[in-house]
This record gives sequence, C-alpha cells and structure tokens, in this order.
Amino acid sequence: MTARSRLSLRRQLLLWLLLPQLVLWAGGGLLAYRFALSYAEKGIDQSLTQSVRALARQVKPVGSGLLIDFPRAAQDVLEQDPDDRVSYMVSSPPGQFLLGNQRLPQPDLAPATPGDPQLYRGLIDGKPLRIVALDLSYGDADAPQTMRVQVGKGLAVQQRIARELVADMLVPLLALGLLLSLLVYGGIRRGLTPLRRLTAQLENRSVNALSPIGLTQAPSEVHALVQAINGLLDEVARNVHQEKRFIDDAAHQLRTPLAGLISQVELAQREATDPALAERLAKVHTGAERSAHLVHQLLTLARTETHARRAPLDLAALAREVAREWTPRALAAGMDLGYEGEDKLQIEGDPLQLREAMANLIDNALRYTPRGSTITLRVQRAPDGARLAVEDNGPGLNPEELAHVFQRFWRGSQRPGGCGLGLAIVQEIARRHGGEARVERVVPRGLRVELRLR
Amino acid sequence: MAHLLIVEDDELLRDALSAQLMQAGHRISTAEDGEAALRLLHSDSFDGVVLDLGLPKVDGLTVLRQLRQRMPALPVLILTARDGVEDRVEGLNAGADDYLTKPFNLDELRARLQSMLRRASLPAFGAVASPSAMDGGTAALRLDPVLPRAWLDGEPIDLTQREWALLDLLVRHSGQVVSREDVLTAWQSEPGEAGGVASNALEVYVHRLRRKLAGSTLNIRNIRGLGYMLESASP
Repeated sequence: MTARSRLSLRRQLLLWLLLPQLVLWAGGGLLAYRFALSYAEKGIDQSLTQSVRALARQVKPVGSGLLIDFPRAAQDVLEQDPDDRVSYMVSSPPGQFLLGNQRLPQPDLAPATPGDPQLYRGLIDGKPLRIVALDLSYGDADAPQTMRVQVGKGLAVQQRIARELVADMLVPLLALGLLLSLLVYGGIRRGLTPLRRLTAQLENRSVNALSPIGLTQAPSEVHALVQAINGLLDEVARNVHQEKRFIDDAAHQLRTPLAGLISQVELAQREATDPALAERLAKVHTGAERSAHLVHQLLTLARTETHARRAPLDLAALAREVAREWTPRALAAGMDLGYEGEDKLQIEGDPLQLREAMANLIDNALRYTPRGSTITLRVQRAPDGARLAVEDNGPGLNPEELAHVFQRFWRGSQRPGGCGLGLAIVQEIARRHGGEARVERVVPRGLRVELRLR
Repeated sequence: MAHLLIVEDDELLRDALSAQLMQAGHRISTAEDGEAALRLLHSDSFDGVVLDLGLPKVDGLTVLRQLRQRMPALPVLILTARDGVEDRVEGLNAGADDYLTKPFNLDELRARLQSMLRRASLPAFGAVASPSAMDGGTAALRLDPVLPRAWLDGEPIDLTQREWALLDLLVRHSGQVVSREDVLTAWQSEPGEAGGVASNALEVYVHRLRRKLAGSTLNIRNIRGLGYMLESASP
C-alpha cells in the first residue's frame, strides 16, 4: 500500500479548493477592517468639523485677546471620557497657545484657505489623534489677526469601532466559510463516489473473480477506467481459463500412464517368485509412486495458483474430518494423531485446498517424526480470522533449515523422500486465504506449522 | 463372480485392470472409448462398470448419463485423473456409485468394487440383513442387527440398547474413527430413544463396552479429540 502514503485525490482536491478559499477569506477580513476603519474616521471627521465650527463661534475677541464663552456643561461633555477626551486649543497667531485644555500638534501645512477646516493626524503621548484645525480672521479690518481653533479626538474609539464591526462580521463570515467548506467537501465526496465504488468493488473481489466490473452511473472519466480494467480482466480470464484447461489436460495425460504403470508393476510383483526380481519390482513401484506423488503435488500447486473457491465452511469440523481420515495411517505408523481446539469455527475458505494443506502437513509429520510421536491438528479462533496448525514432537528443524522450508523443491538434509513441494503448497494455500503459513520450533522439541487464515 | 465392463482408453491401465479383476474371479469385457462402451452396454448385460471419465469420442460423463437412463441400478465406479472437485461431484451427481482418483492401488480398486457389488446385491431395505462379523484375531465378534444380539467367541454378550447401537456403529466402521456426533446421531435414531444424551454419558458407555469386550483382542481406542475406533490388537 505504498500508493496510500501519497495524497489521495480527495485530499488534493480539498487542499486546492479550501486553501485558496482560506487565503481569500483572510484577505477579505483584512480589507473589511480597513474599510471599517476608514468609515469610522469619516464619522469622526464629520463630528470634529462640526465641533470646531461650534467652538469657533464661541471664541470672542476681547480687547487684544480672545475669550471662550464656554458653557460649563459643554466643557464637561468635552472632557467626560478620559479615554476619549476631546482636546481643544485656540492659538493666535496660529501655533501660539492661547486657550484650551491641551497643547495640540500643528498641521504640517497651514490651511490653504482660512475658514476651511483641515483634518490631519497627530500624536500626543504616543497616542494617535485625529485633529481638525480651522483658521479664522478676527479683529479690525485694518489690523487683521488670525486665530486657529483646533479640536482633537483620540483614535482609540475609532479603532474600537472598526474592531467591533469586523468582529460582528466575523461570525457570519466564518459561518459562511464553514458552510462553503462543507459544500465543497460534500461535492468532492459526491464527485468521487464512482471511484470509491469502483475501489470497493475491486477490493471485495476474490483474487480469482475475473468477471467484468459493472459500474453504471459513472462519469465518463471513470467509465474509461472501468473499460480499461474490464479489458484487462477479460484478457486475464482467457489466460486463466487456458491455463486451467492445460492443467486439467496435463493431469489426465500424466496420471493415466502412471496409473497403468503402477498397476502393471503391482501385478508383476504378485507374479514374481524370484526374490531379486521382486526387489527390483519393489524399487520400480516406489519410483512410480514417487513420480505419481510429484505429479500430484505439481498439479496441486498449479491448481492452487489458478483455482480458489471460497465458501462458508466449518474449519473445525473439516479439520476433524481430515484427521479422522488420516487416523488409520497414523496408527499404522505408530503415531498418536489427535485434534485440539474449537468445536466449531465458521470461516470462508476453499474446502478442497484447506484439506490439501492439512493432508500435506499431516503427511510431513508422519514422514519426518519417529514412531511413537504425537501429532496434533489444531484449530483456533484469532482476532483476524482463524489459525490452523499441525504440531508434532519430532526432531524439528534447525534455524537454518526453518528459513528454507517454504522454498519450492527444497528438501532438508534429514528429510529423504518427498518432493519438496508440500510446504510450498501449504504456503500458497494460506496466501489464497488472505494469510500466510509460518513454521516454528516447539519447545522442548517438535515442529509447528501454522496457517493464518482471514 | 460378476460380469464387469471396463471402459478405459489407456491400454496399459486397461490391461492391468482386466488382469487384476480376472484374477479376482470376474468375467471381464473391455471398451476403449465411449462409443464402444455404449454399444456393449446395449448388447450385453453387466453387474458393474469401471468407467474412466476422460474418454475419446464420447466422454465418460455422457456414457454415465445415458447408461443411468436405462439402468438406474447398475453399479458404476468412475476413474478420474482430475482430482478437482468438479469432476467428482459431477460424476457422483450423474449417478456414479463410487470414484477413484488415478493413480490408485489395485487392492483398493478391488475392495471398492467388491463393496459396491455387495451393496448392489442387498435388498433396498435391511429386512433380512445378514449378521456382520468382525474378525478379532482369536476372538470373533458377531452382531445380528435383527434380534439384536451380539456374540463374542460364540458366547452371547449382554448389551443395553445404547451399548448395542454403539458397538454396531464401531463394528460397521471398524478401522475407522467414529466421531462422538456419529454415536449421538445413531442413538437418537434408535427406536424408543428419547434423545438428548449428554455427550459425557458417551464415555460411560464406552467404558462399560470396553469391560464387556475385555479378554478379547478387541479394543475401543480413544482417538484424541476425534472419537473412538474399534481395533483388533493382533497378538
């Protein structure tokens, strides 16, 4: 499953659809904040302009000086909020402090036309301030003087308003973003459904199901894919069919002459009175039997690779049945063959193959353990399926040999006879059942071959 | 002696089969393909057929189906070189009585054929079933399913109904393992049996039966986790 470690199509789509969206939403929020700030500033500017004009009206020239006829109440209002103090200053000539509750910074440039308020920003004690300056002429016509009335207001409030505005927008914005994400996610899921269905269909197939995939209601891209796979499956099915036929024909062609040979030798053995001849015939018989065994094992292996028909079956009952069938042979060889484990264990399996696997394991145990050994067939439940094991208390194998037992045609030094295919067949059968075969030493002595079946 | 038809295309095997079965005292006819077999089945009458499935011209299954239409009771043993389950099942479904996979042992073929012919000669219902005998070396056990009674060394042995059913089952499957389920099923089918036997009761019965067989060479062997087997320990 190395392909799984790469990003899935769904993740890629999600990433490419949602990530830019996130960036755009963030940018939008920032822009909204800027706009809110500028609108709030406009509001302040308007009120400042009004205030400066009102204040200017209250400034009266008295003699050579100026006097603010400032009602107490108005002053209270101006200075009410310590965070948001409205500062004012009257200077004449401009810049020369005359009256006020705060020295306000002067604008960089003098107002272009007197009577036109000029708006600018300034800093007092490091805090930003929005200030309006209004220059007015007063005094006699022959000696005109200019006074500057300034009103300033802290920008803290304005920033707070902007923040609040953005905060108010944030909830619906987030909700909208979330909704959109969900819609995108849902859309992708929906769009990828045919692919998922295709995957499920392919995953649930047994290794040997070669019928074409039926996928209706699929978009054209998936259709092309399905058609390509179906074409391939068809090709494989044809090959498998040919191979099956070949194996079946080979079975017939190989077994029938061997059957004839063995039968003829058996007849000859009965008629042979000369002991030397009888001995030779016995050797011929052994050789023929061995060839027959090899043919059987080769055909079994070939068939295991191409045929598999899994159906629900009771593994425990099957194991006991096989063990019963082998009991007479085991007793004749002086072995104690028995069964231990579950009474009943339902699995999906190919009864013929499982039978073949057990037969191979029991046959091995009978062959390679000394007279009087104990051989136990065991079926156990496992979290991921079933365990089928054959265990003996024979001499076992050394670690070096253990590493090779599943190799085709490998034969142990202590293991004469046999063709070296038994355990390879067992392994192949275990794999056909979604598992594997393992071989291990039994303490204090013996060998255990276990099939993990899923 | 029975008249048998051997249908096998391989000359070597056909020859060995006829020789073996002739030695066993049967009269043998042979055919090397399906067409010839059908011709012979038409013109002659047989007590049994040994039929290879992989035949030229007309294949074995076709021969079997045609034969079954006219002779539903004729015992047929099929030979197959394919040990895939399809052939076997198809063959048995088409009406074969038994099958053997090539290559086989000649003695096994003869044994299978004998028991097939014996079954065919038995009446459909076991009204006059003959007593079965188990040769236990020096001691001979004889069972009569009609009475039902049992004799060991000619001496009648006293058995309860369940003990008799158990012994009968063991004798009929002597040399094979009889599972606990087989015994319980046999007990349930006994007349007058209410059923519902606790399976640990079985051990008690086996133990009692062992005592009654004591002194003979017969022994009921306990097969670990699998059941019981009647064996005769030859001295």
